[in-house]
Amino acid sequence: MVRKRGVRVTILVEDKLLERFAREALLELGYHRRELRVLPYPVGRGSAKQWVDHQYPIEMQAYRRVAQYQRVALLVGSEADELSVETRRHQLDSSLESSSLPGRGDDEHVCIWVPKWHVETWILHLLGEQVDEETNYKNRVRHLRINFSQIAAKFVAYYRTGVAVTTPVLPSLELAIAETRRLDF
Amino acid sequence: MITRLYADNYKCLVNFEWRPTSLQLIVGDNGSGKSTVFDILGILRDFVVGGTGVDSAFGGRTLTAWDQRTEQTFELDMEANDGKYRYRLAIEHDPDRMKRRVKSEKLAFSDASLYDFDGREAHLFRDDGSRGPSFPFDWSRSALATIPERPDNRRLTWFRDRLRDIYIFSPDPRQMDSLADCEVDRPDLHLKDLAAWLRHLSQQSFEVVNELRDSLKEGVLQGFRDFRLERRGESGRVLQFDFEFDGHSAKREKPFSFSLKELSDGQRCLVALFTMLHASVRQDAVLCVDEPDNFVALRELQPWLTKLNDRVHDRHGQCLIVSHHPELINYLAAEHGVRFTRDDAGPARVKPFEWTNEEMLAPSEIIARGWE
Repeated sequence: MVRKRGVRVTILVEDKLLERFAREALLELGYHRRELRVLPYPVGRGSAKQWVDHQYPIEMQAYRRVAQYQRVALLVGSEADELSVETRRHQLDSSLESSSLPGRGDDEHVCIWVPKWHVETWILHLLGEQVDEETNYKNRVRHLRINFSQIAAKFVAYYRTGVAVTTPVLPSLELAIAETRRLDF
Repeated sequence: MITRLYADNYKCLVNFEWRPTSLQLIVGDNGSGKSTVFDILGILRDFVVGGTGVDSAFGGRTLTAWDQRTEQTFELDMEANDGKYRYRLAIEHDPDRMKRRVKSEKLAFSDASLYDFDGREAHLFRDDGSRGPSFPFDWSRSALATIPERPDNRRLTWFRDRLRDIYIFSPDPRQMDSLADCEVDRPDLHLKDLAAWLRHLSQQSFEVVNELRDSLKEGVLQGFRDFRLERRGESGRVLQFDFEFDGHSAKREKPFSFSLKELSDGQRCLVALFTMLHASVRQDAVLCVDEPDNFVALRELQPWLTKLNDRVHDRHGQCLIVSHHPELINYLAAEHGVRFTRDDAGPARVKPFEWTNEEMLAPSEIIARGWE
């Protein structure tokens, strides 16, 4: 496996499970632990989405400032919840617009993951369970003992081969796999 | 896992109750009692497991300065084995004579007595709840330290073993020695016997040593290749670290090595942090670390924290951390933070640390401004 040495990835996510999923997937992709930078996120009261919307333009500006001369990338993870994936992605685009920033360019190493409803759906899918994006699986995963390395390995196998773990394919995960290619240098 | 610590009339802790979670960051001003809770855990461990005498464990000025009472109380709850252990200790002080004695000491599992010392006699109870032997005992130490394991007292000895597995560290790399004259399974507070602990681990726990080696290879120590204990004299071992860099290895030259003492303060501290992470974060053990961030470069802290966070979750361990460092506060406080406070020089109190998206400042900045 090619080590992605020297690429520094900032991780902007809205909760702990998504953070763990993102970190494990990036480690499996070959990043070093010390090349990953997790930003703090709020817990408890208030909407974590608003926090991500607030931080995204700030991080985008920071990314653009150094991307010309350093190997850096930004991974943004926010769950769709009751919204559609498209709506949530549009909200993130709008947060750039509201800050008078240009939209995300095709050549920018900025990757957006929007699980529907939550990252729990992806986790169950990668564990080989039949799940769909209409059902909320938040409570089903809460008490599971999850082997994150195993899940990350399946995510990366999916990323490398393009073959889904099980059917039906999850559109939000497929989109995330495509988005992950933005991290390639 | 420790689920509750209660202390009354001990330094700044008066009627003080704290319910730690599996991963907990303790923040607070200087003198707010953060390190005092670690002191108590260490004292209870040494008193119950090590047989330390009451004068040594609770000597000096440990009574609350403004409180006229002469009795101290400590309670420690642990959840395990589908039930709850509660240990309770009362110490009676005689300030005029500078003496103290154990007034009472009790251990129960889900409200059923396992041990009861009333100041004169110790009463033992079997795991099935039936009354066991009673015997007169000295009030200057804990009889728990002397009770051998038997088939009918497994619960009692399980609790004592878990107290033994409370590791308390305040790493000080300047005290860490390269030479290990012997094996040490319970290293001291400042980890000056880190090499001796690694000597013990390399004999007893290959898994821990291999995990540590892998962690150090993940870029924690730049250019690290391996560590080893090199024979020195009749029974000594020196902890050596091998390094190489790309240009060096291309020439097929041997790695060059440094002893632990020859590493920088920060590198020694990183070795200590990853050793404690791999050796002490496991089921039924408790790792307490006071300011792990000292000496360590900013960029090295989050990789350690993410690994710690994952390991506490995956291995069902418990880790309690005291820190003032923004890096630890920003990563841990929102979900795992508690705040110790005192009004002027009054008693310490503990409150959850709350951080929501309504506050557009990082948790460390909120603390720095005193807005928490």
